[in-house]
Amino acid sequence: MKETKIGDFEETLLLIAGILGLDAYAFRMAEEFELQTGRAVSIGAVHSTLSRLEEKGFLTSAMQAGSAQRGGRRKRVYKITGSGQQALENSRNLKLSLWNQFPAFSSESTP
Amino acid sequence: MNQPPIIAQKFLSLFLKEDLLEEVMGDLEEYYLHQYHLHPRWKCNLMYWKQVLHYIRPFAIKNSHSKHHNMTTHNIKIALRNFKKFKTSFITNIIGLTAGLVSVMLIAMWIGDELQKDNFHEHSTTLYRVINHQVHENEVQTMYETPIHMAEALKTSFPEIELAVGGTDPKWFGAFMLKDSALHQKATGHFASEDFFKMFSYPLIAGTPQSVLKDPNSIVLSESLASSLFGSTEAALGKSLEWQLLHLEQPVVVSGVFQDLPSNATDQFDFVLHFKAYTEIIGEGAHWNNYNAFTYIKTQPNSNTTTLNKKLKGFLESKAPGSNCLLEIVPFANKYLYENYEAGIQSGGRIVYIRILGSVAIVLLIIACINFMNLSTARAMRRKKEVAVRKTIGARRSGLIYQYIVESTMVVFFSMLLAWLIVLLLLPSFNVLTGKTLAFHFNWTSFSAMLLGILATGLVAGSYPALYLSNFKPSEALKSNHIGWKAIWARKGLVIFQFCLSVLLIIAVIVVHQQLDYIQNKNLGYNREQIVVLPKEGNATKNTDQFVEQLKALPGVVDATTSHHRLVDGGPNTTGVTWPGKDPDTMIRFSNVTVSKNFIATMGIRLLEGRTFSADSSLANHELIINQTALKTMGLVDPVGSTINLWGKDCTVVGVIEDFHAETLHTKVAPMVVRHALEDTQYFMVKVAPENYGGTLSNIKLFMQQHNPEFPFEYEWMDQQFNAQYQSESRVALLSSYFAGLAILISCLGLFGLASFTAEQKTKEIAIRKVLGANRASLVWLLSNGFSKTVLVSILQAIPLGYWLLEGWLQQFAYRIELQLYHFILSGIAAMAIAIVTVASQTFTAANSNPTAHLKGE
Repeated sequence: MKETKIGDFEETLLLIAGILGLDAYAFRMAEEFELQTGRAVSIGAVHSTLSRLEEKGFLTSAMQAGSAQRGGRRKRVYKITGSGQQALENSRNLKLSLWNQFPAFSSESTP
Repeated sequence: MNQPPIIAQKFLSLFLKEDLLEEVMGDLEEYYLHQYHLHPRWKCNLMYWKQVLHYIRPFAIKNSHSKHHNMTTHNIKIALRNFKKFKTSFITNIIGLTAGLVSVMLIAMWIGDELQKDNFHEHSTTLYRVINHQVHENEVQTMYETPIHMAEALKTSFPEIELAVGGTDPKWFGAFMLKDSALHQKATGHFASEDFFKMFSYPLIAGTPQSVLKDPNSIVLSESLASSLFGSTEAALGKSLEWQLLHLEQPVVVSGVFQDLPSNATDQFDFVLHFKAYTEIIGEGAHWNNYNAFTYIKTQPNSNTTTLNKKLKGFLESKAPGSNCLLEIVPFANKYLYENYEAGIQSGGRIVYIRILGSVAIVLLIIACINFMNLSTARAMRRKKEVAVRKTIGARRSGLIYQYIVESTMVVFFSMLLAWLIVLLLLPSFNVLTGKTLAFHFNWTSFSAMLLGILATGLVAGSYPALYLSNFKPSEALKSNHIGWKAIWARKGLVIFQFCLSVLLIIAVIVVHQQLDYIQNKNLGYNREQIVVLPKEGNATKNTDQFVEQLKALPGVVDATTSHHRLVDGGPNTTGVTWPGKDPDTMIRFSNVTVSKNFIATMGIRLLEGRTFSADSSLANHELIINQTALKTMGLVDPVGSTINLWGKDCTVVGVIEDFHAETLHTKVAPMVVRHALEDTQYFMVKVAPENYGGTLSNIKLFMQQHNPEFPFEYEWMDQQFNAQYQSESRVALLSSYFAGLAILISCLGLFGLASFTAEQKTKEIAIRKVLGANRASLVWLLSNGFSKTVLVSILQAIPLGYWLLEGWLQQFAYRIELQLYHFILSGIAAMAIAIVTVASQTFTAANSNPTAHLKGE
């Protein structure tokens, strides 16, 4: 059976890939991650996770023409797949269901 | 210039997968540009480097390495399978290598400890001791003693000498008695001049190196002596006490306390007295023709010792005209390991033992490695097909070599683990054997030494099999079972080499043992059996005559006398002997033995001419007895009754005695004068009857306790003191015989492995021969004659080599055994017998096997 579970870092990166759309390549995603979470991360770490997610089938990637800013080198842009979407939804549903069962929050805090 | 650092980019392309390179370089450059606007350039470069280093991850780096990793695991797996398959040779290898490694580790620890001696002196690179070579006719004698004023004179005459210290050897005096009003205690000490603590690194707990030996009445105690005398270091400071030695005594004040000496200090003492006190004791003897003190110097940093030595050579002649002594300075650090001189040239010392045991260790390891090589190549036939198949599939030679090296390294690794455990178990008994306190410290040094040992041994042991096995041509290897002559010869050569080393060790052990036996049982010219030696102290220093008479009267005591030194470990020398007809320009060194009457009779020395000392001391004090060598040196025709001048006093020669050894057997008997001076003697020598030692000893003890109640009863047997002189030789001999035994064992293991292998190879041949009617004897002969020839060749090679090596070793003894033919024949026969027994056990099994079991099925 294929691996379908995702970790916290992986989940965040999947979401960021969704947010950035056509701009979802390793450097931009590392920058965005830092912007959104306030935590520093190396490009290598992001890249490594992205290629793992691709192996699991949650992302696909394609090489795209690059700007002068990167010496005209092409970049690998990642795109979320159907099963990636599915994994994100599963994760959110699981958490929502957990939140709903949390007595202190289920009535008041959740919308 | 907003380019990222080029070296970092190069580095990245070095390890990064090629298909990732473009995107990663792009990303990182974009990153760099972003940072470029925010930070100074150096910081950007640093951050870029950090990003590059973060790409060292499994997913991103090139594959070659991970492939290698896979091969290693594969190799380890194959190796483990092979160990299982060839259990006998695996176990033989493990036992052999473990034995070899255990010996190497133990010997390495022993050598390490020996090299640590005296290494704690901070100024050790500029510390020297002054020695002198006395030239007489064609002989050069080297002494460590110098005239007493040497240190002072050197310091004022040579600007290159920063400090000079005169001192004495703690071993020269027995135990001193330290007394204060309430207590008394015995301790070992010596005299040293003012700068002693500045020169040597014996850390002081109380007092400063500059001041502790300023006052001639000061004494510096060791920490433990201070606390056992006064309770603590603080309490000891400033206290006064009195030391006593023989008839000498002096009140002193504690001026400092030094830390207890480390066990690797060669001089062991409990206290230090001022050198001036010693000069006063020597009194009139303190002149430039008497050698009665040690001199140590510390040179200015960067001063040239070669030129200093040139200047020093004639120094003594300027002080003592006509002196034939040449001074030389030698590093203080050499004191322990390089103490022997022959013809004025450094000729070894304990370093010889280090070399002997060091080579034994290396030989052992080589023998064990050869076992491994032999067994691996012998097994090669079995593995030929494996190699051929691998090569056909595409294995490169380097890969195969790597495989076999991994295999041998694994065997060594197992052996090392085992060896380490065994060393931990053996260490207590090894310490008893060597008289050391070695401990295994598992730290980085020992760990890396072990790791290095594993790799080096693995490489050596694995190299030949690896090269040999990987060289097979697959087409030939798959076709035939033929093994090249080259391989067989190489194997035989290795066995010959291995057995040659073992035979050498056997010869060496036999000769070394005989030499030591010879020394320990040599007729010294006096009888050291049944002699009890007691220190002359307390009341005995005043009423010596009465003590001797009363000791003699005790039941069980045969005779008693006194002597200045213990005879077994050397005594004082003098050049102060003159006689009519002596060439006034030459100085001849005489040993001077100071005794009282009865000495000649008690010690069983043969009197050749004349008589012994007169009974009346006032007469005896002007009489001398000389030995044969002295008679020859002086060339006296009618010695008895002639007059000789000793230290400016005319004495009459009353007798001539046979030469006896008053020093160790490393040196030849020197000309000797025996003088009578009861008050200068330090020891009682009591000869007891051979029956009922215990009863006689308790009589002596009772007597001493009654008449000398302040002093605890102490005694030693003279023959035991004598044997203690040769302790280091005995220990090394014992150690090397153990290790030689191990070497033979390891060689036999190899032979055993080869024999079992040959027997296994020839099972079919044996079976067919048996079926056709061969008897057992002829089969055993068939299997073992090859080995016997090999061993014979190695014995023939070992004999000349052994002769040459041992002749060299024996040279260092003045009195030595001659090498005999039987030493070599005996060793050869022993090696041969051991080899035959080893091989026979295997061949008998093979010859006894049931032929049908081996002829069935293919």
